[in-house]
Amino acid sequence: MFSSGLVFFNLLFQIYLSQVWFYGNYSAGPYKISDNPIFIGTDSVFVGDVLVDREKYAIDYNQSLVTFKEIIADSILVIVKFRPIPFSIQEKYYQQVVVKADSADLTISEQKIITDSISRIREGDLEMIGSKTISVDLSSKQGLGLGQATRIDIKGNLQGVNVWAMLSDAGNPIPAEGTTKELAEFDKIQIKVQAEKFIGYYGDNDYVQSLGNIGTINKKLTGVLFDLNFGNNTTNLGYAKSKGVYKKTGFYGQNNKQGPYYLTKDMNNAPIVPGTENVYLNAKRLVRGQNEDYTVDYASGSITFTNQNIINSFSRIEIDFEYATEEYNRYLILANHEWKLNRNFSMKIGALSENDDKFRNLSYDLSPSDIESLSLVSSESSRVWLSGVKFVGAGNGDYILENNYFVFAGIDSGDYDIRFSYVGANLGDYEYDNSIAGFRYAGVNQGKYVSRVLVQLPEQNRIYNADFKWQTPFGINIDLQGFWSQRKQNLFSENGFNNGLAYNITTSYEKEKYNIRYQRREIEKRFYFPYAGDETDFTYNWQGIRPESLKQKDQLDFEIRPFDFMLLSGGAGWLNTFIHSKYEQYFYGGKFFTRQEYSVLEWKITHYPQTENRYYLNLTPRYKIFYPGFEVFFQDQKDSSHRYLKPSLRIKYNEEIDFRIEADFKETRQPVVKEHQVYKIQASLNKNIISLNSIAGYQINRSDNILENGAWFANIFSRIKPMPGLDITADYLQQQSEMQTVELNYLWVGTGLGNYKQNPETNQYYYDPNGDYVQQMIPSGNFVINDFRKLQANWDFYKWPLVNFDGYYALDFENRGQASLQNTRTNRFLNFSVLPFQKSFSVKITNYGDYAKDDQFLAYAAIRTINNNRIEMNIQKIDQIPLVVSYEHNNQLIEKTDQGIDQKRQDQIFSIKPKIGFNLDFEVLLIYARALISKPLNYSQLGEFKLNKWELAVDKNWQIDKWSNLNTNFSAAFRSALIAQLPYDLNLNEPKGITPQIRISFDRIFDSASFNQVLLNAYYAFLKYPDRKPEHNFSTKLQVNF
Amino acid sequence: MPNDIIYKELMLIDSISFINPVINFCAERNNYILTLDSNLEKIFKIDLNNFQRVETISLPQKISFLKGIASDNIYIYLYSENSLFRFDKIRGEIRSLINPQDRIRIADLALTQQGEIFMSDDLNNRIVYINTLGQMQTFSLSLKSLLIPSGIYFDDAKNRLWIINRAQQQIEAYLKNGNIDKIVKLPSAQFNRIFIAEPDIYVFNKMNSQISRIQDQSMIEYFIPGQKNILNFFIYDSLMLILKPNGMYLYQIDK
Repeated sequence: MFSSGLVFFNLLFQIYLSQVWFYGNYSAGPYKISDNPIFIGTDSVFVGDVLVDREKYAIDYNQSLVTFKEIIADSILVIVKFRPIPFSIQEKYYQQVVVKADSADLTISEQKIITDSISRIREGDLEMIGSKTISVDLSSKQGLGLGQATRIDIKGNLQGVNVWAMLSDAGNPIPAEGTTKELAEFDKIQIKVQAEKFIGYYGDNDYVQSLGNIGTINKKLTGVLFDLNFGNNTTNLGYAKSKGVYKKTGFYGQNNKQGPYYLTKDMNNAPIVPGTENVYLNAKRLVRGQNEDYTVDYASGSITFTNQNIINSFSRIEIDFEYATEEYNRYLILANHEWKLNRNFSMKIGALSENDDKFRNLSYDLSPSDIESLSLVSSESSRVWLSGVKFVGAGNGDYILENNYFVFAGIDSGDYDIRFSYVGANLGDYEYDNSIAGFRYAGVNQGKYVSRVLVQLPEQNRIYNADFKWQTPFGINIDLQGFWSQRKQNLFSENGFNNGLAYNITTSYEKEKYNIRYQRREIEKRFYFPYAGDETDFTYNWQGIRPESLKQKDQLDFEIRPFDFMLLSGGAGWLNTFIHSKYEQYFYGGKFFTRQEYSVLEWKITHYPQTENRYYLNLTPRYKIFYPGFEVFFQDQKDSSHRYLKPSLRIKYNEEIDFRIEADFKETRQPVVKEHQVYKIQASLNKNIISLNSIAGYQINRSDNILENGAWFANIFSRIKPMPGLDITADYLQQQSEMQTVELNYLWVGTGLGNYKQNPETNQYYYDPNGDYVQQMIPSGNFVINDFRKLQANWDFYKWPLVNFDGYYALDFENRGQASLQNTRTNRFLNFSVLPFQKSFSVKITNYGDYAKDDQFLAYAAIRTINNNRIEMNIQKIDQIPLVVSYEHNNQLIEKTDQGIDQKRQDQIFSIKPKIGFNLDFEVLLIYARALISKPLNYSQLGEFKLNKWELAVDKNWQIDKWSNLNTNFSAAFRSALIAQLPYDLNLNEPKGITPQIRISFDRIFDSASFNQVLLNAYYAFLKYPDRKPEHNFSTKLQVNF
Repeated sequence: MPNDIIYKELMLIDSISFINPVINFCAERNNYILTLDSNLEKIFKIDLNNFQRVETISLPQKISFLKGIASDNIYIYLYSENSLFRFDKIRGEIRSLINPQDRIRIADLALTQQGEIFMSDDLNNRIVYINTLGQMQTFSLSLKSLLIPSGIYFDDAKNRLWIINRAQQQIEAYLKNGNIDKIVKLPSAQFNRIFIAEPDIYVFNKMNSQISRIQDQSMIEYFIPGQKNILNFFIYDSLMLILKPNGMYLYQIDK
């Protein structure tokens, strides 16, 4: 498996071990230890005869220099042992790039990968690993079911063609029409085929194409892409299913709200294709991650900023992303060709088309009459309301028509099937009525639902481009680009495409000390480019002009570097929009910096004639371990001004200890003075016994000198190892976020098809996996600010050989800005175990607790408490009859916020599990369980009642031969209660009486010459509840491993 | 139980150090190692041929208290004491396979090349198995003796599941049908991890950071300089790779 590494390391051992002795010179170094470079990691350093940990020194393996973290006194003997490379490495082979120290990074330098992964594959090698599994399930309750899973992992070389393939569709059911799958139906697929002049990509791939100054196409695709290379010609072709549709949004943040900010697709939230988002805050690109800048909830399509950047009404947020295509499959066809005449001249042409599959709406079944009516809708419309009413004939629908509105008549008791859409309070005519499990007419604009459906129309976009690049002999570079777009927003419409043209001209002249660049862009109004543009923060840079209104732009920029420590820059821009207004801007700035950019002075002035001036200054001097910073900005407009000041101080003692304190003052003076202040401390400490990464601070928002709000925020992650054998980790988060309150609704979906049931006596709903209702959470439109706090701690104690003590504690707290709306949940788990000594006895004690307080829905507001204790003893006094004895005590309490105790339950479970040896080898399980239950709110007449359960199970493995195994399990449970009728909604799905159960499982392995292994499993189960028909389940599974 | 205990000092031949402490690592096909950073949002892929990082994989969300990582070359699995997640690198998605409500305590985890998952559940004294169809069940073992599983390893070359059973102070090897194939006695119950490099069995005792090799009737206890805080190890060819929070160290095993 790892044979290629062996050669390298065998070679290493043939090289002698060198040793150098020297005395310190009262400095940390560097000390030269060899004339030759050193093999990485072969060093051992002894200071005063003590082996020094590698954390205490660093070795430059190229220059053979050792540098200590502490000063070495002149009387201390240092011994360094290492293996030198017996020749000098020539510069051209040594591609080592020093990377800046990054707390999230490795300390080592980053070496470019000289050996491409292709060279790992030898000709003739083809390694294929995987499996195919087919299963058949036959159940008396659920009928016939088929399942399959395919998994292939291939890497190798066949007749000069390298092949990589990964394919997995674990758990996808076999469709009724057969087992042939389209690429897109696999859970995961990626295939790469590479020959001398050809690369083919199949399956999931990212497609990135730069269209120069107009933007970039970056899409996640499932399909095929080909790259062909013939000398100076390169062609790529592709046909794929697009996973999403590009969308760009920009907005200002809100005070005291880190998120979630929903990236809306028109009016609705939509899932985002994972990994497609690019998030910018004040034109700075942010990084995803809880410890970085933001997190994304791809399912709901929202982002939340971490405490690294405190969001307020001054924060300019710009996000581009792809939302998941939910209504049509979208297909993409692309073709590009590039011709390089020589180093100085190249030409590129390309075409790309994206179109929706108009014949298959995935969320709404379009009838021929719908399509006919849609063909009359303009080709420039993208959404349209269609009637949700369908006449299906008497007794086939759920609704009847009365007085021009629809009335619920009962399931299959009406003439119409109707689809209702939620539109918001007082915007619709209907309400959902739980009492009839259907929609009820509420009056015009008196409800939240309408009997219509908003349908997205299928669209098609095409873009053609041509690009000529010429590097003239005089140092002038010329780039000409032309674009032609075609768009049709309604593919049902008989109207043609909307055509649009655009061009871009860029010329530049570059010399060592200076460069100058001119760019002109002109766009026709109907030109449409549904991908990321090249300029972020366009609207802010051009005083509120939206990018889509750009008609013509000219830009001239220059840079001069008169000295190594100085950079001067400047430029001008002129812009026309489609309403013919003309805008212009001029800017000039500069930068002074010392070597390695340790200290920097940077400034920029932007002038918008007669309207605005912007001034920016940033000073970051550095002295030893001190990194002070001073950033100031002033924006002066006709009738308002805006400014911010950002002083900071960072003390970076070394890579392990890093401390930063900063303040951020922002102020805007319009008719109303608004102020925003943030004070923040950041600390990072990474030592052997403690690791700490934290941000904490306070923010203040004022309006006209009146305090609007202030809030604390914090992210603290710590890991402490105070002594060997004890690990403690703790994670604390406090953040301001916003949430929309929701209303609970229960929708009847059919007998046994939902997961909630209704108690006919109290009309309340309770969870039941075989229920008739589903729970719907309807957004109310009311938003409240949330103070969200989360604390988690985890520890593991294993210092003593026989004792282990570990556990975790988690606390989530949400205060929704109103005293009556808050959620708290604590969860803990403690485990104490004494491990076996002399194998005869061991004991395990666990405690599990859960406390949940939920005031979100007043009708259901409750505190739920669970406390579970369990003790288990393993006894092996008699060698052939080892025993497991356990006792479990479980308390459960539900208290309604305004009504008192709703349910009280106490469970006690005794079990004894002897295993019988003496060549019989079977296992017996005997359980006695007792439950004391009371439900005073709904069943006060029952008082406290008792349930009993006795259960006996016998389990035996019959090892027929080495390759065959039969497992049999028989169990019988007897349940009794002193009350005649068990109440509803207690999750007591198992009735009184005797319940027998039999399970038989057979496993057979076939070792095959053709395959790695074939595994066969057959399973039969029988179950008979006293009040139901017997259940029989049979399944068989065949797994072929190769 | 091994009759002799031999002590051997290993020679360091290469190392790599980290700024952020590392939680755990795992091997991937073709000489790669994945390390799980303590920030719990980053995975580094390291080439064993030159000990250089070739890829940084960012997780889309933070998962608290992760303790292990495993890779079957198609998916990356991440687990804590009571949770298991599957990470799809290409799509950047994380799916939860086991959550705390399942009341499973994952002492160790092993993957097969076919994508099956075996877990030692020492809270419930059983081996939890997720098959190729994604169905989770208790793996039925033919040996009906008390089981407190800790380390677990699947040997793809021989299709054997190896389990350290602390209750019996032994290592048990099973076929995929649950039939017992081999039992190897251990001198104590304190071993947490197991690695098979036929014909040798390597075990690790977390308590004293001791890695040992079981060979015939003897046990070789390796002495590793600066032995404290060893988190994990694995063997390839005649080399042993050891993970500590601050770095990864490669030693020559003197056979």
